[in-house]
Amino acid sequence: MTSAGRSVFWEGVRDGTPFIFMVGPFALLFGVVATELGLSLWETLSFSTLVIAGAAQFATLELLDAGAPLTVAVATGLAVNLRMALYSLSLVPYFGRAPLAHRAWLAYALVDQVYALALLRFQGREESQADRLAYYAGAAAPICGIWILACALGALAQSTVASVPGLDFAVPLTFLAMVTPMLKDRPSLAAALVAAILAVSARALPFNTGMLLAAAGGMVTGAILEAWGDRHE
Amino acid sequence: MSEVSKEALWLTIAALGVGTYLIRFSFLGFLGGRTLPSGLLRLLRYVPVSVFPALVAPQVLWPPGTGGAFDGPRFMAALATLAVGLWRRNVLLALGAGLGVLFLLEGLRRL
Repeated sequence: MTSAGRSVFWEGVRDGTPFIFMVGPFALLFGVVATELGLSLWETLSFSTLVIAGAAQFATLELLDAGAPLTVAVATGLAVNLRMALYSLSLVPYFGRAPLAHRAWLAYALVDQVYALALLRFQGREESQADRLAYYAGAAAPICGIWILACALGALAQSTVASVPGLDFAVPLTFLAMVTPMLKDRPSLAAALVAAILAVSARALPFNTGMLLAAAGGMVTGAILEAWGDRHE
Repeated sequence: MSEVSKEALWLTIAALGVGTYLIRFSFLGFLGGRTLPSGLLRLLRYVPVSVFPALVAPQVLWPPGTGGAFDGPRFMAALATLAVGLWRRNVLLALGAGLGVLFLLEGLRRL
């Protein structure tokens, strides 16, 4: 890595580090819950390292514990993660031409917070691909690192940190806080509003389809309003 | 988790791990350097501003942490995050405001 690339890497680390305090408690809680349900430290750690997706891990574990068939548990977890296909697609303009080995690790680290930080940085900023890779790696290091580390800590310590009242809501608040700076024009605001309303209305649909339909509705709304605005300029 | 065998657990971890990775790798991996049509690019600009609100809105009204019951402190914390975020355009300020309101109201509830 060049010295410029190294400094961009550290910018990513700087931006990613605060999320230790939001992702950490959620990960601790997963370690605690998994251990209570009978998973060993090794099993909990493997689960978090191989899947590295909080909401899906909780959903799958709860279903297994409730005695659901394995196929249903896995299908539900995958449905929860299907939004990441959209993340993957929307990173193509930035990383599509990167070597396959880079795209392979980018995909592994493609968790919500890393994705949001990357887009906050990349949208509307000209930057070399090497710098983008360095920034992404820097942002991913603390966020993915703390997820795995804190899962292990939770499993080991059965920590009470995870039971601070209200802390369960830190992750939704993180998502809200990350999206607000992106709502800087009318199409974006409308997309967010439509997606939120649709998600609330369609929440009863099975396998997380309500969320996916709502996201699609928001995207179409934003794109249509943007096209309409372009035509009237 | 007494009734779940170790085999079933490992099979689940493996299937979910491989499946999730393939979802993440999908377009990034297989589409490669192809140039996307402008209509699609336009749609993709709205992925984050659509996915995150769709993810969060139901949790704001029916938080999983309270078993799905509407909760005043959590709702107010979400409003504070949104308001400060839209006003200051700063992720950490928005989050700080939301967490501040949340812990303050949670603390008051316990007095």
